[in-house]
Amino acid sequence: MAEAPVQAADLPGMNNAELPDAEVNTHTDELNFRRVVHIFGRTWPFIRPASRHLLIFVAISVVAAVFSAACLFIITGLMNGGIIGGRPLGPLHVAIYGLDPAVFVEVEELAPDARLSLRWLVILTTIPLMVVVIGAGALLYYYSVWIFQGINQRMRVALIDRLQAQSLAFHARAHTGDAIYRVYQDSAMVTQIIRQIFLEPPMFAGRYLFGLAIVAAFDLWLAVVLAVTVAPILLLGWKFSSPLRQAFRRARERNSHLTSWIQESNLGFRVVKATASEGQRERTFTARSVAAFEAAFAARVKLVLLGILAFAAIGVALLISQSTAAWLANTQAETFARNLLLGFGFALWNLGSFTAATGRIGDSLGSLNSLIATWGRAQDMAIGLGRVFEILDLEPDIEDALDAVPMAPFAKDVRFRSVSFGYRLDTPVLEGLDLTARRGEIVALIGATGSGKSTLMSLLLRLADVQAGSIEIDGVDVRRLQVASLRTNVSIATQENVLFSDTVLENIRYAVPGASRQAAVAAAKVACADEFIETLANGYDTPLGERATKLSSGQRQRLVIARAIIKDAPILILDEPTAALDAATEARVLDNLTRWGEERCVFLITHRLSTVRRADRVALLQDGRIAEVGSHDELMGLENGAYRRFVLTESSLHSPSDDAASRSSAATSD
Amino acid sequence: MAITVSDSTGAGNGPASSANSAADQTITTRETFALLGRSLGFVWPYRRQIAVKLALTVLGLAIVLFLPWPLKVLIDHVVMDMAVGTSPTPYPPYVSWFVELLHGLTPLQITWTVVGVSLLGLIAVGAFGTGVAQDTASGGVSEGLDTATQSENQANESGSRVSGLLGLFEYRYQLRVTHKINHALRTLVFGRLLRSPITRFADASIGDAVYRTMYDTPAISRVCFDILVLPVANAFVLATVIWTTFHSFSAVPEIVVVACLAAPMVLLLSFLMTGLTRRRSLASRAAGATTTATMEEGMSNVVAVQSLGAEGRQRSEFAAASARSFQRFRSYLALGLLVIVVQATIGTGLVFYVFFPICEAVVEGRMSAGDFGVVYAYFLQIVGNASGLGAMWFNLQNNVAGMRRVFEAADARTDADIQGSQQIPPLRTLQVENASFRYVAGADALIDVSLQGRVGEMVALVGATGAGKSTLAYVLSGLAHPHAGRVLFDDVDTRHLSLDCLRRQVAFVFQEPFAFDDTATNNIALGNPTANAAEIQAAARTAGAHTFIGNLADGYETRLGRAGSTLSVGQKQRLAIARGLVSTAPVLVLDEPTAALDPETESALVQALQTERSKRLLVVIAHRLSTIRSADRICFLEAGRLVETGTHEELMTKPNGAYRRFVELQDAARESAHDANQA
Repeated sequence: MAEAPVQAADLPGMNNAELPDAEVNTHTDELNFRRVVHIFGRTWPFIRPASRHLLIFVAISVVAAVFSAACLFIITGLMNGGIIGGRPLGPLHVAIYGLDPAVFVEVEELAPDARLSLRWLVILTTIPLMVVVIGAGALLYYYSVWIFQGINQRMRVALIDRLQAQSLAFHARAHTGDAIYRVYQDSAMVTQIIRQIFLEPPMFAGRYLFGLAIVAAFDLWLAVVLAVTVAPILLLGWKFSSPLRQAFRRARERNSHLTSWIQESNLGFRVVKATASEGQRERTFTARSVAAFEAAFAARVKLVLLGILAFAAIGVALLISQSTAAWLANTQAETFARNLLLGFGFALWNLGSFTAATGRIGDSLGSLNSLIATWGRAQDMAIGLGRVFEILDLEPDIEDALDAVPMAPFAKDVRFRSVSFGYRLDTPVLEGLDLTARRGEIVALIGATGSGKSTLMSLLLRLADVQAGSIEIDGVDVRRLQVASLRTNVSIATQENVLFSDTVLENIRYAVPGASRQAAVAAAKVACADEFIETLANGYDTPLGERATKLSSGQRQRLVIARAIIKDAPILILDEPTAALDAATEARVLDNLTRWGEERCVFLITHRLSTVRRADRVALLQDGRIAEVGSHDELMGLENGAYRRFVLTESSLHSPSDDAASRSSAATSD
Repeated sequence: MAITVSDSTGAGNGPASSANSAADQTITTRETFALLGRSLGFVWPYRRQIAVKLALTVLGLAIVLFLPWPLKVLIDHVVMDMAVGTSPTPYPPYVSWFVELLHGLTPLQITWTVVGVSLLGLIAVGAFGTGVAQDTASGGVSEGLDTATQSENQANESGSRVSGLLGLFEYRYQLRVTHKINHALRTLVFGRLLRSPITRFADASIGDAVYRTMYDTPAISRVCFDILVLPVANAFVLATVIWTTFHSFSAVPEIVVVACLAAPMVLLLSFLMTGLTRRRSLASRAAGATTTATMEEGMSNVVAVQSLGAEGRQRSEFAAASARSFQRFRSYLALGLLVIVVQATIGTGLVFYVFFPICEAVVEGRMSAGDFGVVYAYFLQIVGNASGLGAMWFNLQNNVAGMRRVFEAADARTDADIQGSQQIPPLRTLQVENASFRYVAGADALIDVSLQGRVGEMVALVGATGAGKSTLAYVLSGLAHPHAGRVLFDDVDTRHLSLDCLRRQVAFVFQEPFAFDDTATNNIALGNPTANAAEIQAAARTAGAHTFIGNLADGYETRLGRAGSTLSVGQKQRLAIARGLVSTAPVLVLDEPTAALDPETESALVQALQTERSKRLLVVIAHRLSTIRSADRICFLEAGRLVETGTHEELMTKPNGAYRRFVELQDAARESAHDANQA
């Protein structure tokens, strides 16, 4: 069967469990009319800056529309009534064009010559009409696109801002693909909201009522037909709203789900390849793609059905009113408001009145049709905007306190007081941790993988907030400090060597955009990165690809260190700074860092003994607390101490007794 | 310095490089036709469905062309009260049968007949031919104002020129076909991108991959429907209209002249605008891709961005990219508007030209009042269909850019294209012969390296940062092929092996670990899909991952979050090692497996590796002596060259050997620790 849908069940790997139902089914129930209105109301802040332009746009549009309608009415009288029908014109034509009433009004039928002479008047009136319709129409459209893009831009940037302000805990859950989809597809809806909810419906309703009034002037019964048509349209709109919203929510969510999968598959591309699991990734992709298309199919067919049913109702109304008008013209009945229509030559039902009336009927019912089509699409827009506001409504969980102060120049110490924290409440990572680090000191943080070393440092940077206890810099709780000021004063070289797709130079001064080239070179020298940068094709101006895969891990690590150094912050965090460095480079980097860090407070997270030995003090994390803290010698003095065990394990790994080199070094130390 | 890359690796042939430069490139007419040909080849399997769609369209249009005539009947014989059969212009044969029915009826009866027939038509095709109300089936949703968001409607492209039952059927039918084609294309692009060589991401961005898969693919189905259905349907309309004017309205020769001239004039204009349109469209798309990429990078690296306090910078970069994409879209739009304005002006001129003689004919009684309506409606059809054809060319230019980006991805070399088809059992020996390798636009990463290993051995790759250790690991495991020299698995060149066979030979643990948003079990089982729970747990235990997995909310069945973001780096590394250990591949490559591990975990791992090495060829990249020492062969690399090979003892005896210097440096750094140890 040619029309068979892409069958979800036929495809291997299609499994409803793949689609997190929680994600797909939430919120469907709360979407009622009030929420739709609320969502539309929320877009106001983004619209407001453009409100003046919007007003100008609406004003010009209305003027152009009224002008066009008037021109059209006059032309219909001239052309259909006069030239083609041969009926006398109205006093209005005579007044506008300065015609001779004896020839054009006070006759039973127009003479052939008189009829032909009217042709120039039609052309003359059509030219300004076309200029307005085509020229102004195109310019107005461009103008509206410019206005709406501006609004959309504001919203996109607001979304990015909000997403970036979210803490680690949020990003651990969220999907990047979802974010892309939200910002790209969903925020675009805002412009459509303004156009289709704020601008078009009043416009369509206005045209409908305008047409209704004119038709009523021709014949009251025709107006009744037009008025009654509203009932089935409203009923359809009411019946279809909720199913449409649900269908479109599903479609959007599935699409977003698919985008996430593409994104993650490309991110983990190397592992996919090395484990030859391309097929597996593809099967889930197929399942999600099919699901997305199925949902889109359901939603769009519903939308089309609404349009078709609405048009059937409107078609019946058109049919009735048009045939009635034809019959009235056949009997040359008088028009209802004949005195009013006399001016246009429509006092009796004739070809001119028939054309003018059916033109208005068509326009009126057409507006009704557009209104219901807009309403159908608005259901989809409501969903899109709802997803946008789900993000915009998130309170940034890390925010400046109301009385936040900038951080004073760092003078004394950083103090962790009974700090507790967990990414999930049931699994605490840190529990009542105490630690003090003083200015001019290098504190090494050691502990098993996953013991919370990196987490502790995230808390100092306020990438997340402590759940109990406090962190104080010179006695001031970090939560009292302005976040921006805190992050300027605390610099970090992260463990994951994240670089951006820009040049080496820009990567180094990423956090300090105004930094000079010299400053960048100096920082690179401290990090021992200068030496390899100079060998790159364009030195400091070499562009790095996304994720900088052109560089080796060790090279990237040194760039990350340079990036932390150039900030010249009084507090520096180095998270496993030398893990990817060979011993020689490590030694040089650490020498430089020790010298550079003299007047600062440096936290050093590491597993390497060689690195630990550079520290003034060592703090060992265990079970969410600092189990031991002190100088290397002090801690080595503790029998059965955890640090001593660490050192012994580490040393046994690195200096087997039959090692010639270490024998010689042991000999010298004897 | 321009460096060319030999084809054998496919490095740089990926779709990547075009992402940023697309704006600067133009597409020639010749390439446009080549792309069209390829697109048609792609939709060839759907030819029957497209033929059905075409038939439905023509049927709908035939009805649309009939519709002005009942209105003429209504005006002439009811409004103007003319007797049936006295029309000054002859009815065309496809209408005269209907007019025959009306002979001898009163105006009221004629009205009822017309209403009855129209009502039937309303149910069937929902049309009444007024041309005022929108009487077509359209399911398009609102779209944004740039190319990316509009592609969402393209991916769901469908429509009918009529409404009613026929319209509904046609809409559903075409939507199914569009979905099938787009699904197939997305799957193709996704699969190809996933299978492109490992060097791809040296330049490509993930945003670009998403854009190609999701937003560029719909261009093809759109274009194919356009070029297969539109010309035939529009030609049908134009031919019918011109024939009818000859038949019915030859009394006014100007009508016939304009009917014949209008279409070519409108079309010619559209063709003249082609080149300009194409360039604008390309620029618009490229800017859209840049915006996605900027955002994707910022989001993926949000931790780094936050901790550096660089939110402001990231924001302004995104804002700039987004603004540029909007601006480019506007200039593309302006061009489209210009075309419409010129077309409408020409159309108005033509209407003015025929207006005078038509009026004369009506006044002189050579045409009826109703004819006026028919001629007007038919002229609208001519202009509409001709500009539809012109717009098709215009849309084609817009979509050609998307098509090219899709085919670039589809044509990108994949590993499977490079690989042969030979199968071998699990290998016993591995040999690298004079291998050289170079990244795109980079310095030589490997120069003339040779080494060998066999199952049961452990080979350590040692050297300073950037010496080429990871590159050598890629090359010897067949993830990348050398530009010169070769790699042999059991004396078979790895290029000749089938991709499956090649991947089965090697398990690779990357230096920077990655975890998928899936359960811990599934993340480990990637290494060996057939592994059972016991094997997975055993591997996790060896890798030191068992304890922390056990502490997760649902143990092994816990989902790890986006890119494993709920785990620390060390935890992800242990997971990656477990993934390597659970595999049964004869070669296990560990790229700095212990860098992020604490000494205890590391010690356990080093022990475990000793048992692994009896079953496999272990290739280890490490800085730590403990790991290196026990290797059967240590390969010391310096600036891409293999400078020394041998056991630890052998290399330590060379008085000024590079390896010896390397070890002594490490020891010097640790000396004080030894003191403490011995104290």
